[in-house]
Amino acid sequence: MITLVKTTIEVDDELWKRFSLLVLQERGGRKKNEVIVELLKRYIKERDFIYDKQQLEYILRIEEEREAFLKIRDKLIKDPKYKGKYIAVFRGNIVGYDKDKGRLARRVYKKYGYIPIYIGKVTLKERLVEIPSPELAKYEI
Amino acid sequence: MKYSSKYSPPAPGLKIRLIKPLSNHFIDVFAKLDTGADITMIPQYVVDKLRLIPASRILVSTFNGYNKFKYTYFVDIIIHKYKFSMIETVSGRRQDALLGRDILNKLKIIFDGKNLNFDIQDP
Repeated sequence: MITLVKTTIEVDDELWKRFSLLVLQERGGRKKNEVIVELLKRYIKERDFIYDKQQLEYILRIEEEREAFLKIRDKLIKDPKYKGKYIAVFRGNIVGYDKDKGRLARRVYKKYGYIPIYIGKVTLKERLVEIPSPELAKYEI
Repeated sequence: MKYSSKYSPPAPGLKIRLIKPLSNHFIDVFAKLDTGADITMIPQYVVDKLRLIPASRILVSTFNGYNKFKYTYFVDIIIHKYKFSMIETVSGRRQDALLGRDILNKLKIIFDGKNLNFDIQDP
């Protein structure tokens, strides 16, 4: 069964008028929803979205925990207890910290179970890694 | 150990075991030793089958400078006869794994490209 959601977006008035007119000309009245759904599907397909339904659930939960981390990050950076270390965030709260991310992961998974817990480094920089193997491009990592 | 001729030119690779944290669930995959990779990459199908849970996300840069956010997953990895616990990896749509320097730097590896042999020692 497909669950439908209602959402509201803000777009430029002129852009919306042009879009509405084009849809009206090509498909007739009350078809804007249909076209938007097609655009969304095409956007996802073109980007080779690799996550299944379960992964998507996990990822959305990790993103929520990450949001909670970002809200307190500036404060944590000023605290020598956390600065430069890895912290674990679960249900919006810090549930552990360590200088070793693997050790921290093992500890929090043992305590809370193998569930989505965000583990991030208390630093301002986004972590960037290189995987320069040319074949990755064709697999669209 | 022999280089794998699955790759052209042949590349050092071997079968490794990827184990879900705190469990006995595992999948064996072929892995290429990739000294250019900062981090180990595991196949997406392993993430799906083992129901691995993401822990973080990082920016991954490829050879053409293309950057993309990827989620990371902790796994235990057995390579040759050596076990490494809670290794943070990223996933990708490929059949084999890429062993990056996060793992390779924990081992002594001798490449003999001329004879298409390599050896792994001393964890």
